[in-house]
Amino acid sequence: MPNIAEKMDGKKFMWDQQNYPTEKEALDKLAEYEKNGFETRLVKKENQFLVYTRRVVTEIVIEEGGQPL
Amino acid sequence: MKGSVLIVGAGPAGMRAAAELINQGFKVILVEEKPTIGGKMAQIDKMFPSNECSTCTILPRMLELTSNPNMTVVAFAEVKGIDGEAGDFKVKVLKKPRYVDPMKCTACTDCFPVCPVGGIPMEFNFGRGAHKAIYFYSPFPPRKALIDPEKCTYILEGKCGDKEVPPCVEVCEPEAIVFGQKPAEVEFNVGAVILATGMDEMKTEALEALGYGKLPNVLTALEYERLLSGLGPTGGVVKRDDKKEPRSIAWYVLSNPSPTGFMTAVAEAMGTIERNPDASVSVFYEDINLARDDYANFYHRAKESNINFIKTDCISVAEGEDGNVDLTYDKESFHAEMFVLVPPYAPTEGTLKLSKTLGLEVDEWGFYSKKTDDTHPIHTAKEGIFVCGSAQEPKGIDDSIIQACSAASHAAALLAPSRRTELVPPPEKDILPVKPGDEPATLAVICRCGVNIAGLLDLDELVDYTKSLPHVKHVEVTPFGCDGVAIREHLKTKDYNRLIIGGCSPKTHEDLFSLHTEMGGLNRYLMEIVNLRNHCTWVHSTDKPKATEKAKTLMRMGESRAALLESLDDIHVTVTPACLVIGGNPSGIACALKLGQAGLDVYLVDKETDLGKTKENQNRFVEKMIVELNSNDKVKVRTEAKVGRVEGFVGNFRAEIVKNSGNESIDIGSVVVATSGDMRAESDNGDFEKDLLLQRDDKNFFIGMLGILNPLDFNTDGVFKCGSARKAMGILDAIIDGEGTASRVAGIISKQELVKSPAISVVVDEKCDGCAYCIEPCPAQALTLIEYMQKDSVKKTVEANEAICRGCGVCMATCPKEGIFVRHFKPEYFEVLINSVTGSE
Repeated sequence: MPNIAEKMDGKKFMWDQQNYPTEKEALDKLAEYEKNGFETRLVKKENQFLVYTRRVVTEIVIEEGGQPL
Repeated sequence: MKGSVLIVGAGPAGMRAAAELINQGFKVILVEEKPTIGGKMAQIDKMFPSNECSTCTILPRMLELTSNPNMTVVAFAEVKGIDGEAGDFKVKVLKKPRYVDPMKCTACTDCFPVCPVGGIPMEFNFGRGAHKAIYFYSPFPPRKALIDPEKCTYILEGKCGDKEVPPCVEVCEPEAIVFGQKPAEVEFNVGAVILATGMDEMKTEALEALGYGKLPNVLTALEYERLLSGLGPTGGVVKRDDKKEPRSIAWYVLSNPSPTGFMTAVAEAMGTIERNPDASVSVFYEDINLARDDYANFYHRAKESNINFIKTDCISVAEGEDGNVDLTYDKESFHAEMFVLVPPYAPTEGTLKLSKTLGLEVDEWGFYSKKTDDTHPIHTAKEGIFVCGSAQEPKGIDDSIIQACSAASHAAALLAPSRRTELVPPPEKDILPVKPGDEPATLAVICRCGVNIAGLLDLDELVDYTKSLPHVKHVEVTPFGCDGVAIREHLKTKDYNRLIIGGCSPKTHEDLFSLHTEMGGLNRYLMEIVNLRNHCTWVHSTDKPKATEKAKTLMRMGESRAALLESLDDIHVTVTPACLVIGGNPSGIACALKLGQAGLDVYLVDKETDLGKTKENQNRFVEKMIVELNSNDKVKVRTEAKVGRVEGFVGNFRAEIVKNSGNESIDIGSVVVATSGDMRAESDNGDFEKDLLLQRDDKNFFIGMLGILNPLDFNTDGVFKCGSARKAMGILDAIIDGEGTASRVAGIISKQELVKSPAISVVVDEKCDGCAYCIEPCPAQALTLIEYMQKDSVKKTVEANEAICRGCGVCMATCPKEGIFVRHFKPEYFEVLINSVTGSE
């Protein structure tokens, strides 16, 4: 089972929890994610292609009710 | 050129200069004339104007310094001569005989009770309290016994009582006593010398006229400090020699050009009122010289604390009834049960002797201060010999610290090509591998701490109880755990994979105990400190049975947590070897120049068109510095510029220099703010003050880190302040400030990497749902909310920047889902601590 989070280039990336049997499938997904503003990384591991993503949230909205005491 | 520096005098200035130089990559030899280090700071109770405990502040730093392999402490010694020139001095040092081999003495104190010669007044306490002929000079390091040759009958008469073999020799297991020891001259070859020989109270005839030396309850301020000190002869309860606790105490501050005298009286009066709010406390003074806003604030606080301040230039004393002192001033009278005189300050005897030995010029008082406009205050007439602290002229501890940093900068600039050439590499660590799940095998070391722990609880009972705790394989009682001997020797057997130290506060001793733990071969994060002293014996000193019970509970808690601890590896962060100095005023220029001279890259940013044209820089010192600055290829001056966004963390910042001609992005390891003027670029370029979490006070100066030993530091690691960024000051003080800050910076950017504690936040992604409760409360702004894709859904989690996280645990406290924790402080660690008290499973 791949790590759910990986540090790459000093940044935390999260695995999208899907296995892509071919590089092309992985790259297609990657492009889709990038179109939605995600940074992406492709990792090949034991004949599988793994896609990792991240997107920094600049506008933080705290859930209603505020912080717990 | 040598890569080492010899420092004369181990008070706060000497010790700080030593620490700064070691941090910058130089070896240090610290010579102290007394048998222990610390200087006057070790003798005082609290420091003004912050009212911090002096001992608590200085002792851990002393222990760390004396444990550093690049530091050689030569205590009980004096400099006899210096030959050579800057970069290559030969210093002759005479070591006085201790009659005890410090390399063998374990400070066990077994020799003290068997010594038949007692009742010798303690010099460290100005004659109050008594010791045997073999004794510790003070509670401070190096904690090694010595013998008084003028009192020891074996030295004087060749036998001890009717015994041919002295009992001290008989009981000394390590065979440390050496009656044949003679004075020994040693020579050190160093590149620079720093004189930090301090100051003393001036014992003038005026004191005698005011009853000193004649009336029993007339003391000097320094003598009174020993009565206030918890480590003093009366344990911190002010008592007269007749054991009476005085209810009315008066101070008289003799005319003094330095504000230090008056502030000493204010601090002592405050300390007295804190102990006894009903005491009648009056301070008589001839004149007030407050000099600084923080001194004035401290004085005003004192005035509001029921302390009377009375100005008079005519006071006389007479012996009153019952040992009291009757004071008459301006036709008024005051009956004091104790009268404390605050004399002006004089150089120490060591300063006077050394100035003659070295042929150095001194002022009319004997200080190294030069009253000419041409001499830099840190310089002496001999190139490569620098002076700092109160040996230069009387000053408070924080000003001494700044001068010490400045002196370190001068020495480092001189010896820059030899940086790291003499450093002793850290010893190879042979760390025992300990995996999660390994059965704990615990070593418990219980520190006697003199009488601080052993005298205030039933130690045998505590030892037996500790032996009965799960996982505890051995319990060792040691005189002073902080010397590390017991810790290292037992851990080196590799029989233990956990360590509990029953001793003093981790706040002051954690770094030191960690060092000893790793030197013994155990990962420092497998060590747990149980604070038997501050949390138990000191606060329950009058109830031995209950203190013993509480100590057992604390040890049980410590054992339960230690069993869960895991090995952690330090985090190594690479450093960008450059600095940004904001403000082209005297302090900014001085800082940039010293960094450049030390061979370090620096960007100096100022909003004016020409550094030389601003009014504050039109001074002969500054003009000379600007010329040197312009010819130093390490310094890049950016005029007509401001600073925009600054991102990053200590060792790795990225800053925008904003000019009309365009922005310049620079990578730096450290930032210095040298001006209180607004150097922020237009808002769309970011706000470096906000980025670096800098705050200003109501007078627009920057607020720095708390603590009298940190006058140049901000709370943000790697960011420093000097000159008018701190407060209003004269040009020479601003220059020294800037140079001192250069030392702080060089301690970072002269290194290739920084080592950081791994006890920082870790996000548990399986539990974190990105609720973001933790983001805003994080004081280090170390947390970032990120989104990611998971099986075609957008999820959220948090990213912790391990370089800037300080491991404070605020995030852990705010998280409702156990989605983030601080390594070494996992929630289950707290759970076992509580369960071990309540008995719950």
